[in-house]
Amino acid sequence: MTELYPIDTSEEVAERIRRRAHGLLAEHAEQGAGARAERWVARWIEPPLVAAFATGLVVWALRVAVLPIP
Amino acid sequence: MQALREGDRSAFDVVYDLHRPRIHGWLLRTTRDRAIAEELLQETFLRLARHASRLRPDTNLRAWLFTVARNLERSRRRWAWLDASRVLSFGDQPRAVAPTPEDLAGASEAQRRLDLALAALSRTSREVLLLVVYEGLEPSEAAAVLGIRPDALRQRLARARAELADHLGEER
Repeated sequence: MTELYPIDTSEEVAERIRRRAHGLLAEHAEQGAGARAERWVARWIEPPLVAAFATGLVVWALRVAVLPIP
Repeated sequence: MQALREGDRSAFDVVYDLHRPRIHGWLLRTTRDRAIAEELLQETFLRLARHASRLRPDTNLRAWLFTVARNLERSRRRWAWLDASRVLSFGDQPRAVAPTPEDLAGASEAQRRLDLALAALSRTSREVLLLVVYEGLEPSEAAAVLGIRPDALRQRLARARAELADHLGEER
């Protein structure tokens, strides 16, 4: 079957789209780095802090319950 | 693909240069309007840039791009009738109908006849023929792009071929 001839955009339009896409890629790469940092904090920093706070709370509650009130 | 997912510009450029002429040609032949085709082409590749980091490693980019382009075109068509400015200005200016004289100048007589016959087809038939026969998408890819089952695609393709043959026959 006869091939259709390709129809491309003008060079000007193609370059305009390319520049906008490059801008978006850079923007999303920065957001991606921010999101990775947030995930790292959520994975390695937040759980020990929460665990320490919970332990402290339990210890304090036990002390209040067990120790005699003067 | 990995480089594209990491936001690498040169990886994007490879995809852009490889698929742009095909996507644009498909949009132009589907919409029959150069300005709209360029607008949709831009949105298609901007979506690629926005979603690059979320693409799966095994994504078929050609099918992905055609799917996005088709969805954008359908969405534009649905909303176009609500755009009062278009309705009010309808008929004021001749629409830039593809192919332009510049496009035709580089085409052979057979290509010209084929393009004119394609333009005369129903939208559904033109869409399926352009995807499968001219863009070379696998039937499974084209079915995914069109959101239909492979057997429905085969039926649609057969009807489109018959319709095209009729139009080409009429021109003789």
